[in-house]
Amino acid sequence: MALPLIDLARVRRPQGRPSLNLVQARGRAARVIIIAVAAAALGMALIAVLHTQIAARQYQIDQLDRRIASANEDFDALRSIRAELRSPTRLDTEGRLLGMEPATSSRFLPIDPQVLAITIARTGMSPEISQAPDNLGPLDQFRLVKRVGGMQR
Amino acid sequence: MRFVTFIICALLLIVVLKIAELQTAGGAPLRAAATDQWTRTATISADRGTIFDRNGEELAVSIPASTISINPKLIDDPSSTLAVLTSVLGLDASEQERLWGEMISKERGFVYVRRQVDDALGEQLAELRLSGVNVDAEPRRVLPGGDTGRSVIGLTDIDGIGIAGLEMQFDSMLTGVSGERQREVAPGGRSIPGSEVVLSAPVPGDDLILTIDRSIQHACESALTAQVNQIGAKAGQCIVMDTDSGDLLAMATVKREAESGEVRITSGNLAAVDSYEPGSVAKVITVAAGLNEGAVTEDTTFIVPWRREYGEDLLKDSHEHPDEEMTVRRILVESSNIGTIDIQQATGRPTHWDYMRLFGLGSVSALGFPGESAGILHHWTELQGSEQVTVSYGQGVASTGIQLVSAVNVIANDGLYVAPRLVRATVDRGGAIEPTPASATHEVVTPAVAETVQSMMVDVICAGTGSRARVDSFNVAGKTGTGLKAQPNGGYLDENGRYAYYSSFVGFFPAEDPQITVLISIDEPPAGTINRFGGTAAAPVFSRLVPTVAHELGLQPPDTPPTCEQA
Repeated sequence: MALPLIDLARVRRPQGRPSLNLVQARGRAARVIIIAVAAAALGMALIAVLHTQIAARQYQIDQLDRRIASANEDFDALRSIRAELRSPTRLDTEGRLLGMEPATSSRFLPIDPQVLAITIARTGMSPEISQAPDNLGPLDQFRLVKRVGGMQR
Repeated sequence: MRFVTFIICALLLIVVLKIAELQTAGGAPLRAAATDQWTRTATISADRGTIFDRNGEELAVSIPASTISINPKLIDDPSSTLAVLTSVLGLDASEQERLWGEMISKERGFVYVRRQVDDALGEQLAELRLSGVNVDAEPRRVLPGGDTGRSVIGLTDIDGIGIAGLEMQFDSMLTGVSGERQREVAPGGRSIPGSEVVLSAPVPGDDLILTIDRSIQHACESALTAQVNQIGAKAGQCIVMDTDSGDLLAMATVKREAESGEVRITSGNLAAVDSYEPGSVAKVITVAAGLNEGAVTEDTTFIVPWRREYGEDLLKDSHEHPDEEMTVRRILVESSNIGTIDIQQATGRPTHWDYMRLFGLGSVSALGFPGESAGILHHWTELQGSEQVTVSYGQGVASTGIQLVSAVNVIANDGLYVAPRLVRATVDRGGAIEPTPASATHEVVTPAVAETVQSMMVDVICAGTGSRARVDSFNVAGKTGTGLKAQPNGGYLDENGRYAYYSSFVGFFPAEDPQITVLISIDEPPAGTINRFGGTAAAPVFSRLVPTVAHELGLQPPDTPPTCEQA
């Protein structure tokens, strides 16, 4: 069954009906506010987390600084002890306690060339260079520490 | 009703304006005052530079230590606080009494309990978190080698400021720049953990690398102490100098303490600050001047009596001998006073005076050591009576040990004066080594003249007054000197009619190619004994020291053992 076609041009608006305007839906503004508040809250939470992270990192940095300072202090205390142990005064005293006396003369003995050759062949090192390259003396050690940790000292 | 409203509005307006004022211009002082209430700012001491010897061994170093102080106003329980401090720090009765007075009176806000105590004790106290008790880091200066080199290094006061020696001379270089630390405090005065902020980091001071060799310094001090003890002298000096560079490898002074009689290393560097009449060592200058001016040769002869009158004084040689013909060489080897005067007169007094200046007498050395003496060298026109001639053999002129060793070093160094040097390099805050400039030099006599005098000084050892300076392994050269000490009364005799002596020996080795010059001086060896002479009091110390110095420096003795056949 076919429906009759309505002539829209003939349809009339009933008299006395109020004119309607298009208005924004009420819930939309609320949603925007909620979203904005949520975004702000999230932003603040993120900022708070960020600050917490910064504070945590700063705390770690401070701890590291303290450890560096403490290590530097230990280094100073230890090198003082080492200097004391290596001091001629102590060695002299200890030597005398062991019945030793300062030498009155020095004798320089020539090295047998064959012994020298065998030593170099076996060790790859001349006996004159008895100190290992990485065995730094007190001054070089100190300079190294000062160079890398000078700012924290 | 309107009036009341107006009043309320006006009051509100005033409040708002006040708030605005406090939040803007007027707020800063209040904020500062508030910060002052809950924060404390403390100075972070900069690390004082280390002093190393030439081989990089520490001679003076700052180690961590703690300083304990109290704020009596914040102490709630004085008796238990004092009990804890006494227990941890071992306070004696007088210290306890002092602190108790401060705690009770509560007049002061800061009182030291003890400074620069062991760091472990400081940590122990800090962990107790006692109200009103502060524990702050304050480094302590120590000499790890004990007294070795103390005369040269000097010392710092409790605040770490150099007050003597190199510590004083290089104080501004060794002292770094202090930093600042801020911490927040709770009402009880305790620090709030984690509140500490470093406002500015301290900058450590530069370090010094000296020319001193710690082992040679110790050997000098030991040998001197033994000799001064053995012969019963008053004091002694020892200087070891690198002939070519003027670097001082050792500079030691020891002195017998008046009260205990014990011979100890001095805190003052007497080798730089005390001057004395050098005696016959100065003959080296007179002979070298005569030779260099062509006034005499080594074979020039003089008829030398054992005594001669000059002005009102009768001057003598050390021993009686007939009038005899003596060469310049023999005059030096046998140390004839009268013969030396003849050489000075042949050279001319003004010229002789010029040479004494060129040899470094009469002016402060390049060391610039605090309190260093220039000695006494009057202009030749100002000398009176017999002093006009006695300066030729070292009486009427005064020199420091450093001046005398530098003067004789001219001969060892082929006629070239080289200024003494104590600091070899510095280490900056970045750890880089910056060498100090090489010592200044000037020619005093020709190499040929220096060589001639060297050979004469070898003869002093082989056939003259310095025989006790002989060494088994090396050929050595030197000159003895026995100077009379001037007394407070202006003469040489004390109130008991006795002389006091200052005996020296200055020598160098190996004689063929001098590397090291050594001065040994003994102050007031016992008068009236054989030990009063430079050849008996000082020369044996040189002999004992040479093998040690050679060993430390790796100087190899010649293949052929030393002989005195030529002499």
